[in-house]
Amino acid sequence: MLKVNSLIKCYGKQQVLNNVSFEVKKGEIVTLLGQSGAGKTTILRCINGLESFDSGTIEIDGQIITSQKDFRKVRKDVGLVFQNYNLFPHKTVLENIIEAPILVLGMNKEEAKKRATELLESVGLAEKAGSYPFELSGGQQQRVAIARACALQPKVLCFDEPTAALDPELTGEVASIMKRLAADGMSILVITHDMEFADKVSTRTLFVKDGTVINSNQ
Amino acid sequence: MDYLISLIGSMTDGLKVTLEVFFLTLVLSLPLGIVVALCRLSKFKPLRLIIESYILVMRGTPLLLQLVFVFFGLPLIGITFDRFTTVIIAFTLNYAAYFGETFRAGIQSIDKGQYEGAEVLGLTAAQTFKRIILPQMIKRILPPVTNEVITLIKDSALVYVVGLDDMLRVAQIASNTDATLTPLVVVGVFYLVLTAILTNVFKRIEKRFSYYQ
Repeated sequence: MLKVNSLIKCYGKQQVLNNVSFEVKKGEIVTLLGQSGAGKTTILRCINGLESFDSGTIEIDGQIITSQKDFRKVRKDVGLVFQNYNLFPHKTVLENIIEAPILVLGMNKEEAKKRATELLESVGLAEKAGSYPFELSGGQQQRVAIARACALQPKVLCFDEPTAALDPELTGEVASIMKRLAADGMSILVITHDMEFADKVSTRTLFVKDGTVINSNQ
Repeated sequence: MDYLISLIGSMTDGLKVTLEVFFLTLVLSLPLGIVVALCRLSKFKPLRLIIESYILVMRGTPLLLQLVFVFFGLPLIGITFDRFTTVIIAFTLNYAAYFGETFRAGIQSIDKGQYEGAEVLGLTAAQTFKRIILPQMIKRILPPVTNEVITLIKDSALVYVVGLDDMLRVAQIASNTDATLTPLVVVGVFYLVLTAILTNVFKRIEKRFSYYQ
């Protein structure tokens, strides 16, 4: 579903991604583990079209991307839940979720609202539809961000450090949402340095070191 | 007392000029300010340089001089406008430069994550600006914009230089003719009342944007 092939990226003379290759199959949860500075975030940003790369390819649902400019065509197929969520503070929870389906998919407002409400129910936040992000806890904001990303029905969903801002007892909840999405056929890529969380949630764990994926233990 | 009433009567015409200059300038310079801000932030260097020099000239010379220049200078190269149009052109160009810089600061103060959040959802650059960035920017720039709007109402007194009779000018003539300071006190009160109304209007607008943090 997601295939990264020989990805290389340099900042000036420094090579930050050094021949990164890995794959996430349909319904899998793959975790990239590594220390900060290892290149995990850069890999994730390349996969989401937020960062350019110098060579290599990214394949999403059969479509091959060779540069950042190509991303328009797979935009809907890949979603990202940011570390700090990046919700739109001036919009309600519901408005945050229906924005993209209406503007990008051309869905009508009623349909978008109906789908958004279902998504909110699935993450247990139906009663928060009319709230603004600042009225929610960090964990709730994260679940809104997940619902917002899922509103475009992506085939691949990425998480950037999903446990970084959560109380330890809340990580189980995110883990179960991820597992449910994967069971429904989504491919999930998680980057984290939280080993415990990685063990709990992953189908496979990959290690990133010095800009390359060095090892996989199945 | 009768004198006061007759003064207020004659000052209403001046008030009309002041308000016309004020509202027309505002209506034209606010949207133009957004264009200025966007050009100033453009990736296209020549456009950026042009806008930067425009801002330098507008902020670097007195508005009074700009008024005189548009009114007396342009006819020398064959371009003539009537008094009122002159005033509106000069004021709009001047205020758009100031608003442009305020808007630019507002746009740049929005977290990069908001752009990225919109980007990964597939919003176009125009949609992102209109629906995500602009509404958040407006909330942040309201206090400095209030300042500039209040300055504008007082700057409008400069139109006397091209011979328009705004309320300060009317008061000054009355003061000279009748050899009394009363008209100047009255006009001072007029400005105060206008400013108080504006302050209140902007307070309400700020409140309307306070539904989120």
